[in-house]
Amino acid sequence: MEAGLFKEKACRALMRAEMWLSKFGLERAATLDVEGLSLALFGVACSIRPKQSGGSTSEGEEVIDVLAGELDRRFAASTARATLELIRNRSIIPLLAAAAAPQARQSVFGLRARLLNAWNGSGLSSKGQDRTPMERLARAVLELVAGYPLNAALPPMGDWELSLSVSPYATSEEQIIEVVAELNARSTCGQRAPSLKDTEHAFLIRSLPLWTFLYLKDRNLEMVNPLLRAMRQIRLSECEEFHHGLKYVLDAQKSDGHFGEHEIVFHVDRQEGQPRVDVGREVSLRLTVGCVWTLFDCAFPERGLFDKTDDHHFSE
Amino acid sequence: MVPSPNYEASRKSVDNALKLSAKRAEELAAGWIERHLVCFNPLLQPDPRRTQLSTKAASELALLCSIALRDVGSNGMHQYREWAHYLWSKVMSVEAFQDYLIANASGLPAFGLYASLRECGYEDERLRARLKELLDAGYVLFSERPPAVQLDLLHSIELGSFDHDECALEDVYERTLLSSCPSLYPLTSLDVYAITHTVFFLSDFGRRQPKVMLEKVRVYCRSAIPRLLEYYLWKKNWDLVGELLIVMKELSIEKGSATGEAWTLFLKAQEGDGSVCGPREASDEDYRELHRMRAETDASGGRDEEWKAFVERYHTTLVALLAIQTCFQGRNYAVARNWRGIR
Repeated sequence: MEAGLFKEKACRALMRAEMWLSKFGLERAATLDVEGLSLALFGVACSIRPKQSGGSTSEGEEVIDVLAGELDRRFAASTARATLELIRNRSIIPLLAAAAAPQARQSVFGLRARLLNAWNGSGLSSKGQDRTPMERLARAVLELVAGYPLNAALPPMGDWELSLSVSPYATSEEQIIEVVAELNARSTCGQRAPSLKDTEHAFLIRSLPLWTFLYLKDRNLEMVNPLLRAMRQIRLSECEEFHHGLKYVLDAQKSDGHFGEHEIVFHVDRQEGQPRVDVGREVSLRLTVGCVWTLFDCAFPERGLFDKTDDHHFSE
Repeated sequence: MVPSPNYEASRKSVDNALKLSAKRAEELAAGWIERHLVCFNPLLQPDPRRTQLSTKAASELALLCSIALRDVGSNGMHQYREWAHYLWSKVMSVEAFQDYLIANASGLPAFGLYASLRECGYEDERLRARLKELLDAGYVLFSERPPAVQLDLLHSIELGSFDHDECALEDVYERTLLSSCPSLYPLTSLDVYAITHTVFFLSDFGRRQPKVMLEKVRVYCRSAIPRLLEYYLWKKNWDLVGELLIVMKELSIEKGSATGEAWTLFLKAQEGDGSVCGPREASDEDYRELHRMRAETDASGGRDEEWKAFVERYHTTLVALLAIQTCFQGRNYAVARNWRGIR
């Protein structure tokens, strides 16, 4: 797909997704759990990003106020403990939401301050503690929340490499998630080019298109999204799988604006009476947020999803 | 996840060790076939519902023997000769079995078994005359079946040196999935079997260049087949991994170290007893159907573990042997046909 056409389609898709996310978020703000609220906040932040002018207040920004305010209240109501637990458990969705939401909004500013205070008081900021890719990613996202490097810069990973001791064909889903998390940590979620050894770069160039193909063939939207963003981060946006992937994501949008896959299963489930899962929260919200993040990231790489951080501080 | 000291470098040393590993794998797999030879004999099955699958298995074993014995330099020749002899003397030469084949003419094994064993040097003029009569009657050729399966039949007819010109290979090929160069994304595993089998029969298992295949299809295969191989490696579907490795060899698709890596993983999938387990993709509708069909053949309702293991493993084990034969044995096809007519 030609780049201009994709950008146009992505813009329209993001607008439709914003409508669904806003409606979902407003209707369920009071009953959603912290992760659900964070997903909705992050999704709306991604979908309004292309049209953000910095001037007038859009409807999406009003939704952001509601969601960020509700999220902040949840953390405030449970003292610092829930916030600390959140950071300890390295659940990065609330951190991503706080980092992506427009900093100029008072509600977002308050939420960011609360998360950073919790981090500073948690004792997790000392150097050398973040050893796994997920922990390192959480730290990188916290840096986005802060807008400056935390008191200990991302520690080196020692002998951990972005290449595996096994063949890419024998890689498990968990290993693929770890590789993508580490790449995100090193690029601060695509904010800058990741620092990679030659062997790591060669491994990623070989593996990422392959893994994307595998999950595209299996129609696994949840895995395709992070892989497409990872491919964009290492400039693999010319390869065939990348273009197939973007088309697949665009095609996964439904008429009401949400994104989904294999929905016949849930349709049948609803027909049979009591649904076994909250499909809106557990499936549609999660997939829609993943898709809007991918579409924004791949259509507007020059814009950046997060407010500019001080690159000088980030140089390692 | 563990550190990777020197993954790329270690891969380079694999090639030399690979031939030795393949040789060991062939011996092990042959041992498993040897121990399960009775399962390849439809006449020894206690339940008539097993006859059909056992006949299919016998036909596939005969095909393997015919390909192995084409190559006079084959190290495994002795065993392949013995199996061919077993299939001929204990199965194919039994009149009751010949009657069964003729009476079930819509299936492929009649012509497949005959042609493969003929390639191994066995001939029965009376059976040949009966098969020719069947062919001339028209039903066998014009019975409706998928194009890749029709190519299987035409291949057997050609291999058996039967005269026929009613049904042209080119016409059938044009109706195959492969000739349309399909997108890889919607392909099911059954579609991929249709593709691999089309290449097998067009190329006579690597013996000739598939002339009917247009250049655009060859170009398609050069990118599609290695991608599908990677997909099934990741899925641990060793049956299709084996078939795709054979196709790569037959179409001379070179992927250097990636092929070596695929072979390493394929050989590692072999069980200690020499067998290679078939696909177990419970989520895949195709395989659920395949397993259902196989299960129906299991007369014991799952009580007979040996038969169950045979059903699950025989095809992939044969594919492994065929892949080793195709990819590691030098081919010169200097087989001097020595007909052993028994009637």
